[in-house]
Amino acid sequence: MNALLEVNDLKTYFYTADGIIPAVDGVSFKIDRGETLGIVGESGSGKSVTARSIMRLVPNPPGKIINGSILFKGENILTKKEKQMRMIRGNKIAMIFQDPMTSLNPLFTVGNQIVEAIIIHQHVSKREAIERAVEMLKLVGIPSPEKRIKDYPHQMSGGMRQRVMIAMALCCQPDLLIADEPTTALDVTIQAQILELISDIKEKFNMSVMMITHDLGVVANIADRIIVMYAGKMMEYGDVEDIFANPLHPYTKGLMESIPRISSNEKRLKSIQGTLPDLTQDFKGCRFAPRCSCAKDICHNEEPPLVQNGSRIVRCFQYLSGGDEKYGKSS
Amino acid sequence: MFNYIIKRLLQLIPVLFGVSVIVFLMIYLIPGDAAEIIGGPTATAEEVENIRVKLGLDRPMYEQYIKYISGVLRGELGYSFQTGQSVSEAIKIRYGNTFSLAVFSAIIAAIIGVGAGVIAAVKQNSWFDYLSMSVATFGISAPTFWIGLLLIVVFCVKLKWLPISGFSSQFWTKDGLTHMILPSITLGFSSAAMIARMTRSSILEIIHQDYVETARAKGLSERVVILKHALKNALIPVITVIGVNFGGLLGGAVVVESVFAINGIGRLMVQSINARDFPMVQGTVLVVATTFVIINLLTDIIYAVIDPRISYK
Ligand SMILES: Nc1ncnc2c1ncn2[C@@H]1O[C@H](COP(=O)(O)OP(=O)(O)OP(=O)(O)O)[C@@H](O)[C@H]1O
Ligand SMILES: [Mg+2]
Repeated sequence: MNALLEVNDLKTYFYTADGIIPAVDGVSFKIDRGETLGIVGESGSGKSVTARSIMRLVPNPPGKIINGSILFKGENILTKKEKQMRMIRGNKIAMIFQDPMTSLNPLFTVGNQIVEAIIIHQHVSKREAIERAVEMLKLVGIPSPEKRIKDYPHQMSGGMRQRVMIAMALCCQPDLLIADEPTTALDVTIQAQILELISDIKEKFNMSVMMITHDLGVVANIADRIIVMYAGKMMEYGDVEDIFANPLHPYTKGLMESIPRISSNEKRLKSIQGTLPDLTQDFKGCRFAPRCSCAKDICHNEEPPLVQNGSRIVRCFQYLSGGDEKYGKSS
Repeated sequence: MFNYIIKRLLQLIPVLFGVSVIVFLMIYLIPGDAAEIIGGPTATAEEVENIRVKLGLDRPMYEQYIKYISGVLRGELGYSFQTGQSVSEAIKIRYGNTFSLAVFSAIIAAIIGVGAGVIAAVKQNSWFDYLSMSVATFGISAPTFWIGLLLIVVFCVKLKWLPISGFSSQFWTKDGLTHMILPSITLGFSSAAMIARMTRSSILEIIHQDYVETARAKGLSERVVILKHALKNALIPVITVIGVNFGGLLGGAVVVESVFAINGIGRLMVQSINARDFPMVQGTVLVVATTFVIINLLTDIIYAVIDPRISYK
């Protein structure tokens, strides 16, 4: 069966006054129907830009998708006209954002904002759209939805607003839901509820989900496969159990070690030293090399290729067949 | 919302009281003795005393104020020293002229300002953006009388498209409108410029808000995203500018009235100040100040209508 979404060698660059930022630099993955893909990586690694590329919402200028293809149900999104794209956005592919406090328009009722999404994509009357909106609010667990539909966003808590965002995203029963750090701005208890809601709804509608987060803990329960991104590059890609059981890339290992564990008897939480490299400079070698404890000379001079390792893909010289000698030689 | 309006209306009372007190006290604010100044340098002591009694200046202050305010509340603003004409009658005609001029220019300024501001923001760094913002900078810095004269030279003298003067109070007729155009543009120019700049910067700021991204992600067209989601939010600070400017239009009308020979309240005010016609000065100041206060109230109400967070507690 064809994948629902297939991204091939996607490159999205930003052309800024300070230079060219390769925010997404050759990312490939696919999402099957009903699958949840987690995209993990620290701030600035290009997760949101990947999502915006799929929605074709990269701000241009300065951003531009310069390479690759994004096949959605077999059709390349990147060659679609803006008008066709609008029929996909919010309808076939919906997106929710990080901060529910700011992602709803403060001057319109939540009902208005949901109804608006229904009306542009479905040929229904306003009354039907309102009924539909009430139904959606009920589905996402908002009590007395027929009343709350008249509320303005400021009359709701953060968790409720994120539920409204989810209701809005689901109102046209999209095939794919992109959730860009949907819980980062919420309290821990609310976080769990929202994640649970997303997985419930995913089951109910047999939707695919792309879950973006910088927290590996979030994807552990909900994702089927994960991508680990670093500085615009895909570093590791594979099944979630495999990766958790046996992380291959040094960056993934670093991320794992920074998840707090109660059982651990270590006193201090490990963290990866250093920060993301400045991508506007001509960068040579592996982007993680400056922070990598196993980096060898070659890592600083040559860009490692993506290496297939069983069902796993990893971008590291260590796993290159015959790479051992290449990798070892220089040490 | 209803409660909010009631609350704001109640707050109006002390403000208007303050205004009336200040206007009333104006006669005492001029240095020296009011009666002497009114009488002029040639007046005898007896004449000055007569003036004092006639104006009631010999009575205690509170008594004078009560007399004054009860007159004001009945719409009686006294009689002109100069012509003996009823102040309220004199103001009525001229206020109508100035007010319609101000409203007309405010409407033109709002339409042009908001329109240009939105386009300049959406097409940031385009030729339209540069051109309109240069014109706006020019409009804010150029003196009103100069713009008026420039427009007269171009449209009346050279092109002969529009009449120079002869503004009539029947402004909703075709003739009235043609007389209204140049004065309104002159008066509203700097206001349109400020509104345009404010709208532009406000839209540019709002456009980066998350909810604008949400609106796009819904599949809305860029038009709806800008005109519904961004513009409504962007208008909040713009409305303040429009409101404040409207007050300024009333004040700034003096120059325009002189340039275009319009019989308005601004000119009346200047004339009566020069003539030391105190009842007329008090009357015009009171009316203009009250208009200011009411415009402020309307601005606040429009605010609350647009932004539900304001009337919500
Ligand atoms: N509008 C923009 N203009 C210029 N550069 C941008 C823009 N948006 C993103 N970038 C660049 O792209 C890089 C990746 O950004 P992105 O938002 O995808 O990171 P992220 O992984 O989502 O991080 P976070 O966890 O902070 O959301 C950033 O480092 C930034 O330099
Ligand atoms: Mg992000």
